[in-house]
Formats: sequence, structure tokens, C-alpha cells
Amino acid sequence: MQTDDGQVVEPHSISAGLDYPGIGPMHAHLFKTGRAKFLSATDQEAVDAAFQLAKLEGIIPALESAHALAALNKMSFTEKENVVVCLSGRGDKDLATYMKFI
Amino acid sequence: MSRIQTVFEKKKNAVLNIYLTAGYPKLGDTLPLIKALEGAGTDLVELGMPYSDPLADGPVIQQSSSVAIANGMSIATLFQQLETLRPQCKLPVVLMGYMNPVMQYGFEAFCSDAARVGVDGLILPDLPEYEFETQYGHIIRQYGLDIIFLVTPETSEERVRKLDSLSTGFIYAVSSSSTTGTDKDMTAVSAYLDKLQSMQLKNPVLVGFGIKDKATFNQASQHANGAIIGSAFVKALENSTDPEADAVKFVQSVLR
Repeated sequence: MQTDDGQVVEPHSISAGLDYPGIGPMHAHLFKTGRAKFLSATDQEAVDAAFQLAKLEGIIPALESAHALAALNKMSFTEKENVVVCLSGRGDKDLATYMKFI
Repeated sequence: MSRIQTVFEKKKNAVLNIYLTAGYPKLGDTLPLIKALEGAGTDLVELGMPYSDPLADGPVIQQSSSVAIANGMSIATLFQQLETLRPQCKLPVVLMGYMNPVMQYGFEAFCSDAARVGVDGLILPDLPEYEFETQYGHIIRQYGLDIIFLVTPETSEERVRKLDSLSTGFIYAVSSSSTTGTDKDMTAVSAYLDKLQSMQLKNPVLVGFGIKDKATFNQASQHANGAIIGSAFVKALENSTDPEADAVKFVQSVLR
């Protein structure tokens, strides 16, 4: 994330792990070559998805992973498709943030 | 022979290189300051292109970069300001900056415009040697710009020789493997500088990082061809009501 002059822009994300203006070269390559599709999620969408997982499965996801879960609501699947979500972290570290949304 | 090489041809010792941040303290101060530095007896100027994430710089230069960016400084603006640098000013100018803004500007366009306005060399601390050799070096050379690599006390002899073979102009000896503007006992680094001297490199060596006044400049000059003063100079311009006069005063305090 940068200005037209190449100055790095101060980013914002509700999750500490995503509050960063850069992207790794592997992701950049996957995007550029079209091997992967990238979706975005707002703070609210991530929190909603986290609450949904907590209610349905009793799992509190990390705020970072909650962004991946939020993508499920933006995609459509057939009944025969297997869907794997990488739940990369646990959410007890994020309880203070989640509490503000309860 | 480049303007930078000519300096070292004429002067083997106590070469003074002053670093200033472009667009600091005020947007329009860059060119008047370069001219003031030339008048005061500076041998070279290292002109910093302000960057939001200046990873090799300490708090003083970081702060000056933030101010310069807020003043509206950019590479495009800097080149506009430098249009009238030559021919009246003869001082060699080395641009120092980071790769991101340079790549955003376009690497070849950057080298081409730098050469056109009379810039003599480049210091790009986050341009690794491998990428220099494989992708960027030939463009820099094509436009006749010198390239200056940095070495630290931790750099192996083999790598110092490699960087010396790639550099033209001079070698930038970092006196500590940290950021600029830190206090360092010069005696602690003199052994390292003497070792560089004994290696008989093809390029002259200027010491950077930790040089702040006449005493440290003279000390560094005993072990190298000269030194670069950055943070201390930038600090001298902080809150200055007359940056040109304060720049002259600073240089005189080092040289007298």
C-alpha cells in the first residue's frame, strides 16, 4: 500500500496481524499469475464471521482467520464441493477486541 | 572521469561529504543549501530522497524525512528543483534513497532524469548486490552514474572486495552496523577502518554514521579518505530561521 510517489501508507485493520501495508512475494506472485483469487473483508464482516463460527462450532477464531471465514459468505458452493478454511490462529488473544462488539 | 572521482583525484584526505534531506527544513531549501555547502568548502553532497520507511536512518534523519514528505517533497519535485543545479554549481551530488520510491518512479526514468539534471552517483542501501548485478547495474552505468555500496565491520573481506569491484566513486564505510545518528566511540572502529585501508581497495573510503563534529571528522580522516556527516548537520538545521547561514556555520565549525 503506497502513494503514487512510493511512500508507504499507514494501514488499518482490526487485526494486528493484518495491520501491515505489505504483502509477501509468494502471494504477489499467485495474484499476478492468476493462480489464486483474493477477496477482502471489512472489520465488521470479520467480526460477524467470528461470532458465527463461535455460535455454530464453539470455536473462537483469531481475528486474522476471521477474515478468511468472512469470505465464505461472499462465495457460493455446490453441495458436492469440499471447502477447506485455514483457521490459522486462535481468538483468545483477541477477546478484548471481540468484547467491544458484543 | 566522473565529478566524484575528480574530487578524490585532487584530494586524498579529509574529504568532507555532507548529507542533507531534500525538502528539509523547507521544500525550497534544497538547492540554496547545496550552493551554500559548496561555498563553505564541502567536497561532496549526499542528498537524501525522503522515504516513509527509511530503514538505515536514525531518528534525526527519519524526522527530517517525515517533515520533507509533509512539505511535499517527492522524486519528481526534487528533479524539478535540480533542473538549475548545473552548470553553476560544481559540487558532486550523490542521491541517497530507498528502492520503493525509485521503482515507483521507474528505475530507468529515475537514472535518466538523475543524470540529466547533473546528479553524479547513487546510494541505494536496500538494493542488494545480486539484484544490482543482474537487473539494475547496467542501467545505472548506462547513464554514467556512480554507484556507492556500503560496508560494515561485519562485512567479510571477500564481500568487501566484491562491493569494491562493483562500486565507482567511493566506498561508504558504515562505522557501526546500526542506523545513522548514533554515538559511537571512534577508537572502537579505527581498527576496522585501518583494515580497510590495508586492503588497498580501488575506491576511496568515506566513513559514515557517528561523525558529528571537527573532532570525530578529523579522527575518521586519519583512518580513511574522509567522512560523511548526516544527522548532526540535519540537527543543526532544525528550527533554523536561516538554514543557509547555519549550514555554512556548521561546515566551518568542522573544517576550521
